[in-house]
Amino acid sequence: MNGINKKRKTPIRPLNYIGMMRVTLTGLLLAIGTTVMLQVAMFFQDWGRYNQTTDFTKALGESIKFMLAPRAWFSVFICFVFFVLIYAILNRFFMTIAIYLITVIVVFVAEYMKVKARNEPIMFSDMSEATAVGGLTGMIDRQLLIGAVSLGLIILIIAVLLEYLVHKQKLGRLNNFFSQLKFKNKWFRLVMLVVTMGSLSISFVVNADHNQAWLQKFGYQRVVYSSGDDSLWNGPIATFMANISTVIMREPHDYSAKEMQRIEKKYGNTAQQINETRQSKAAGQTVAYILSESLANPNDIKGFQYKGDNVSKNLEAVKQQATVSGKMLSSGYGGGTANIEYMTLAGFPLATYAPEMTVPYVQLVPFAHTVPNIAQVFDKKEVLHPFVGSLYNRKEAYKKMGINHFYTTDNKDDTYPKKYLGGASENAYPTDDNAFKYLENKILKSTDKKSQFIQLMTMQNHMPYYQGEYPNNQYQMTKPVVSGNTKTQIESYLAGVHQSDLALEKLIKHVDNSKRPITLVFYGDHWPGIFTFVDPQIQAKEAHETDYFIYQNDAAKKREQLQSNLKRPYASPSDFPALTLDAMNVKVSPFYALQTQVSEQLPAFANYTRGKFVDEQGHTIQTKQLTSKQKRLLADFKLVQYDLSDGQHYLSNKFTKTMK
Amino acid sequence: MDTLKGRMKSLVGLVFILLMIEQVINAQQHIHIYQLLTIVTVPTIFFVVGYFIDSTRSFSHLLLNGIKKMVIPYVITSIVIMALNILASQLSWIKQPFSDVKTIIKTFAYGIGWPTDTLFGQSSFGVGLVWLLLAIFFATLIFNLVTKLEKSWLMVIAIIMLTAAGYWFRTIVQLPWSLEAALIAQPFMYFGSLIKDQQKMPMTLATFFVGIILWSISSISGAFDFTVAYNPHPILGTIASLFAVSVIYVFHDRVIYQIKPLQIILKYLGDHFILGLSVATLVLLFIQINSVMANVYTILIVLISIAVIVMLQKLILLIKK
Repeated sequence: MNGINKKRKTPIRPLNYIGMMRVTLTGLLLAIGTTVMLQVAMFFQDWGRYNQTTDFTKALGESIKFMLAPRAWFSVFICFVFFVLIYAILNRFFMTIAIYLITVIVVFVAEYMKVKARNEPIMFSDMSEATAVGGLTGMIDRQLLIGAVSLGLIILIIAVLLEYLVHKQKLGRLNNFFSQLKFKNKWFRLVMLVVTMGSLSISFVVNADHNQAWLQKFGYQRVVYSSGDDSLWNGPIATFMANISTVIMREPHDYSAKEMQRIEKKYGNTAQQINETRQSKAAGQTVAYILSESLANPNDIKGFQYKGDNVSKNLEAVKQQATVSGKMLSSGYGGGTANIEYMTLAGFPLATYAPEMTVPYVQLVPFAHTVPNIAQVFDKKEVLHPFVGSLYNRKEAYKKMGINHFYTTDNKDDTYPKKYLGGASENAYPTDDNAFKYLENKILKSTDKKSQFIQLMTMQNHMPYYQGEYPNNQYQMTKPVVSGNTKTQIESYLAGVHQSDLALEKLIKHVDNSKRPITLVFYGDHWPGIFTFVDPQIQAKEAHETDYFIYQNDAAKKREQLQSNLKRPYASPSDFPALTLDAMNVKVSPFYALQTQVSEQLPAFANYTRGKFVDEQGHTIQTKQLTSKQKRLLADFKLVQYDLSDGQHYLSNKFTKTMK
Repeated sequence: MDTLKGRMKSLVGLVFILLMIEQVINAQQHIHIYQLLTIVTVPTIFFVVGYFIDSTRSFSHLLLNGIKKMVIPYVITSIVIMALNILASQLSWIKQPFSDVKTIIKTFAYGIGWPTDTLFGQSSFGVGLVWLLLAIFFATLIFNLVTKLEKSWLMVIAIIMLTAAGYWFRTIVQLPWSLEAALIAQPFMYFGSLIKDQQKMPMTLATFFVGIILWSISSISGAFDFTVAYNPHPILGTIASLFAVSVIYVFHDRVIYQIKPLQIILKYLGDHFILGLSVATLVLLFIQINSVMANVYTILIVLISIAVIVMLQKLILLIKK
């Protein structure tokens, strides 16, 4: 024989080939099973997007069909590499399977529940919420949670038992079989460890464009407008990996130091012109932002009818008396609270950031050079939230944004008082009535000349919605016909909205009676995800409209010294800082001068999509339909947004210096 | 007595038939079958080439042997094509694939299978299946040089680097004489040479199923276009292809080879592989059949032509004697 190795003195040492192949086969089968299962979690849903179905067999069929696409195999690759990584670390076959399966169960439950609630898969930015386990588990279906935990425990016990039996050689003829399932060559094991860790970390270490290129090699095709649709198309694992490294904002083509100097000068002059008619000072005033969780107006939903009192009677009345009111165009449906909150504070719409930048508090604020926001105009800045504060990286984000105190249930330094945590029933979230009482308490305590900014984020109407949440609930849904479960949720929601409405009436009365100038900025952050008969893609505008108003008591109106004739029937959350300062008649910096012009001259950003606006008549228009003056303003706005978020920071501090 | 050599020849025969199927089916209509075949046909050919290489031979011996067995048939095929192309202008029942003789000379001088980007600009023609002859020739020479390395690990690294070079060159331009295909063939040839050492395929049930899974995954991801050294995932695709080769080897060994009539036919085709490539090239270039069964007829014509030519060769030898 003339083999190539016959003359070699140093042939390659043979590996435990048979064992490795058996482990490889196990890993591949588990990886394929995982990918199918996760895809079932995407398809076995009520949303009706792209063959989502409540028929399990059909969902399974769609998931198997998904496996015929090249892009499905990225998920298999990642799962397989993950399996090999665990195996390389532990070098124990059954424990590897157990840990892998437990991880898969956790991921499956998390993905299924998140898609069920928001039609969105788990994103990398959600990992910051992993520390808020206590808060999150409350949102998970209890039966599913119990089932998952039980299954995980059973798997672990079986694995430990099998490992023990293998170790003690008590499996008879199978002893030899299982003893082969180990790395026998330590160098090979080390190589596998390095290779698997390296493969899994690619998306974490490369920049956004390289990450996209890496994923595209596997056939990944980003669905820009919806992460939910992205996960249906590419698989939730691919969607997760695609959004790890993100571009904050793509550099505008004319971005340069010279251009930013021009903008600084231009809006410096604009600020001077605006401030000629602005006479009030923020000192001695209070601005209270009220983010009303999941508050939509059921009366606006086409085809929806219910029996019971008008759930939004007081809200509609207050809007008539408010300084400015209308519909806010939310970016979220069923969730995304912190993203809307960011827009209302910073004055930048999500629609102009890169599509991958979906959670500003996690992906932008910690890394931005500066985060100018409306709270900085005021001396005292506080946020109240009757829940845990660890979601969406708020604690860190608020520090960066200059918030002095963040009152939450889990903050040892600034603890949300227990007396304001009562819910409508035993396990229900704190009522808006209680939340508003705490807010009033905070405002009333502020009697000095310092200006005050308070933000309250309520919890009462947060999902889940269930039977018995509101005792003696009189509300009944009559149209359209929906499943029993959906009907129960909607009726409970209606009761909640009504309670919020009553609480709002009381709040307005107390605000009216106060001698301190108070400006309330009230808005619903997004729809709840329970109106399953509304398609949030087809009826996008309607499904993203919530009510907003800016209400001022007499003391505030007297302070502003000028009749405000603000009008903004459709507003982006990013309009709120400029609208608030305008309502208060307060002097502005060049930064807010620009925002004022945007809120006056541009139609509202439709943050639920890209490149679209909604005008005063409620018509959706595209960027190309803007006038050239509007386009120029939009271009300037994007340049400033880029410079402050991700650019070279050419703008000086004077541009954003607050006028107190 | 069955030898591994005989099995390898039979395997080549099987792959030749699969290669024919790959050539005649409509790649768009039967994309999954097409992609499935590409993962395994040409890689298996190089696997067998690697088995048959005698590493103890000198480079010059291999060079001369290669010229005799690969390059000369290639040149003869190109001359026949020239003649048939001229004839085609007079006969309506054969196609005229090339516009003129100059184009044929240019195309066969460059020696790549498909029209693509060359060092001299975009080419409009390819040489057809006989690209394999040039690829095998150069692959053999390259592999022989690699086997001169004393240390096994050095050899493995050299093979990896040569393969990477093949895929990398492809992104820039197609080198002449199917050089890139020769470079990316190295892992498969090494695999074949390892089998020669072991005298068996290290196959377990797990390996077989891993091979099936990886073969399927690779075929879903895309075709392995050896002609232009293209694989959607060079690293994973090469690994998957190696496994696919072992699957086809085992399947042939345990199933196909056990059927005596098939064994005889396939060994025959394997023995006349080079002739088969030339004949197949001519048939695919010049014969056009308008029929629902065109694909089947084409393959039959190729097989019959091989048999006829071999019989004629034997007849000539008999007459000479």
